Amino acid sequence: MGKYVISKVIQSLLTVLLVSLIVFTIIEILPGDVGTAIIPEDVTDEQAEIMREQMGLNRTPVERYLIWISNAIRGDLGQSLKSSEDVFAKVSHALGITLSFTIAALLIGAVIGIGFGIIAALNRGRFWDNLISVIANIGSAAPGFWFAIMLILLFAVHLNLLPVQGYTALSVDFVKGIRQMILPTLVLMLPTIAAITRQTRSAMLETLNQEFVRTARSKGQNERVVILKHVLKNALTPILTMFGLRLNNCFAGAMISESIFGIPGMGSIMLAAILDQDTNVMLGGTLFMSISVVLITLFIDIMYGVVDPRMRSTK
Amino acid sequence: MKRIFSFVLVALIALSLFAGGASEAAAPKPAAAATESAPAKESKYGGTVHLAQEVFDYCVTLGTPFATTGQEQETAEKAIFDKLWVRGADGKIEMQLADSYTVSEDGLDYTFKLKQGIKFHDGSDFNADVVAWNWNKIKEYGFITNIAGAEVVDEYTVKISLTKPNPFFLMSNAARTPMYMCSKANYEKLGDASKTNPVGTGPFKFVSMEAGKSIKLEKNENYWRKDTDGSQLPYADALEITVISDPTVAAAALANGEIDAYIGTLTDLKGNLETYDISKFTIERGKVPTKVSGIRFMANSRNAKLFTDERLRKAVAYAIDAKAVADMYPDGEFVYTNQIALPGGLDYIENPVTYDYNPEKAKELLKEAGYPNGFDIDINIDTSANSQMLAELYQYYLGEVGIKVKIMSYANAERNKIQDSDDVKSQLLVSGTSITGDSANVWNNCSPSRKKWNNMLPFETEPGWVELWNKVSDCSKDINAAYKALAEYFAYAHEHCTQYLFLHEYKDIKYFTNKVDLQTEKVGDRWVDSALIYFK
Repeated sequence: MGKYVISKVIQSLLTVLLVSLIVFTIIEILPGDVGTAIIPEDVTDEQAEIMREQMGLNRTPVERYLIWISNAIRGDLGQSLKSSEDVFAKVSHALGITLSFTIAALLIGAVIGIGFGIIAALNRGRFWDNLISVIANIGSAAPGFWFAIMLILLFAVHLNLLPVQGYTALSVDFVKGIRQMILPTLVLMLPTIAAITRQTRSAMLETLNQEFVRTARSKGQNERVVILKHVLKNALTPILTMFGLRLNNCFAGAMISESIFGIPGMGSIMLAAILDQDTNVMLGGTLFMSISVVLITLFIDIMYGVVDPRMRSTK
Repeated sequence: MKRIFSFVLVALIALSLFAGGASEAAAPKPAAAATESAPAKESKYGGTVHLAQEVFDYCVTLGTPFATTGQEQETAEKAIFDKLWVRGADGKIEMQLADSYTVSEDGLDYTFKLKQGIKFHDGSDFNADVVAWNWNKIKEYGFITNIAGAEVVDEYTVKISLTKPNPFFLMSNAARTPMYMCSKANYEKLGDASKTNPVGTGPFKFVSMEAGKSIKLEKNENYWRKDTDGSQLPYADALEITVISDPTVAAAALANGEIDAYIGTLTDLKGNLETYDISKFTIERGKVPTKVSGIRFMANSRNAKLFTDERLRKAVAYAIDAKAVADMYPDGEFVYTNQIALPGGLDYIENPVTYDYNPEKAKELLKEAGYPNGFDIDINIDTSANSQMLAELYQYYLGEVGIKVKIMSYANAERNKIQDSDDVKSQLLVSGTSITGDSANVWNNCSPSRKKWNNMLPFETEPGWVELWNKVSDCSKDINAAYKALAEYFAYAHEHCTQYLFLHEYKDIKYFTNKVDLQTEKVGDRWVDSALIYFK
């Protein structure tokens, strides 16, 4: 197991390095740079040149990448070329905000999704199965921004129960912060519920037909124990895979939520960095996201071993 | 049974898709504003004003205005800081932190007498030393050009020196971001951290900020400024500014009272507000145009000579129905103008040469210039939807006289590269220039010494035009003579159609509930003066 984890970690590091190189190359290929984006039009050519030098834009791309990567290894991601803000602080702060509501959305969504999936599987072909399937289909098909607007109109405007938008750190105002997080969390939860419901239902139905389930029932096991201990546990592997995929997709989904609800998370800063061609923030944000994805994948891989002992021996 | 159930469910979902917005019958009452207790009607004082705007990207340099040109943060900066001078509601220069000024004979030195007894929010004094420090920082960062330096004359007198005379120095910089005076003591104490801890002399003090999303300010109890009727400013107890970039969300926030005013360019916000009770809101477009735009001619006379021929430039101008183009914007976003200057301005030209829609005249000029069947040309635009729409209109009109236009869209960075290139081919540009109440900025951007703009101007073949440009510059300290020369310069430009700018842009719109009064008639620029906002 130890060797397995170490090799996975090395693979992950190489993946992160490759991702940073690819992103840097793409940024370089794009026309222009942050200099042309932010240097005012009415400065003299000499002043523009000084500004470009201050931003390091007079160096070759190879030099810039090597400088960036050697600093990044030491934890220095440089400064935003647009605002001079420390990139590490900026990105880590934003990532914390994004993770706070995405993880809540995922965990709650997973619990609900697994519950729905079990109910649907046990009532196959009947009313509850149909209802839950429709909800899951809506969750998969409905665009996130549409759902967000509907929630705002219902809860914020018609019922006046929740704020329209905004973000307040929980440490500053706990109640206000929670109230502002509810709607964006619900927006992220819906596709998670949908995906995990469908995956759970499918995996449960497959497992319910297995011999060992019949054996467990014939031994007189309580139905709840049969479902939760035998069936669900054996169906968890594909559900775990779906959970990992949803965790990774959350960064993309969070961009929509953050944009509509005015949350200063990863999605917001990456979008701004792309529009501003702020290389350092783009690279720093990509680095954080790729590390997050790699760690999530690693975590899921390890969890396979926990959930299914057979996986440990094959590894 | 299953099928009936599924059908009913699908029908309900479909219905909800169309009934998503609030109908007029079901229009909710705007909830009580999310503010602290509203003041009594007799008093303008009290309350927290909640403003929202479209973007707020530069907030992390809020505390060092000399280091940015970020106009997105102007609402916040105007609340926290003051300037030495501003553009008044009447369009003229008005002293703010300065009391008066004089200009040296050679037009290079501007000496300001400062107001006394003003303090920054951190208790430090506002004086000549601080002003000189700010202006030397401005010079260091270079976001206002042509500054040689600033020096202290005495405790409340400061001299700002230019590298070359500019008769429009005050007017062209009145609206510039770096003009805001920040606390030197704060910068020396916090260094880079002062960027996110702004300290000024303005009507509101900084409390906290969520970078790029929101900022909270509280009243400066010792603010030096009073309203025109002698009332102490500001009226509000606090100010909160948040970012909302979606019109549906902005409309919902206005409707439920979460925000009191929205400042931005979201034209579709009006459509969203109409789903609520629009009589509860006021929509005000800015009174000062922010840009003048139209068509420019890329004619690098070294490599591409097409538009060095004045007849071809005029043919393009006659071919376009400029008034009809402006009429495509009934909300007043674009307004037809026959010149850059505003009526009543010292640079306003009486009866300038205009190019009223005349396709026959256009064809005649094309024939005269040797293009009886027209020619093919690219039109260079940025990636905005508006530019695309304008380009398509021009494409239609020019096509009617035989000029076949191909629309080429570029990101700003690529566009700048093309404009700077020595090998650029002849093309048209859908383009505009920011203006601040007069035509001086457009004149300044046409400087013959600026390589960047060379490709857009056939100045090498128009020596008379260069002479007129220099005549404006030579006026140095005589502002009246400078504006007269400016009018002469642009009269020449109109006569020879060096560029065809015929649209004044009024992009800034303020949407606010009827509970607040923004008193925008007392403000001379496009930004909200939060010191003047009060609850009715």
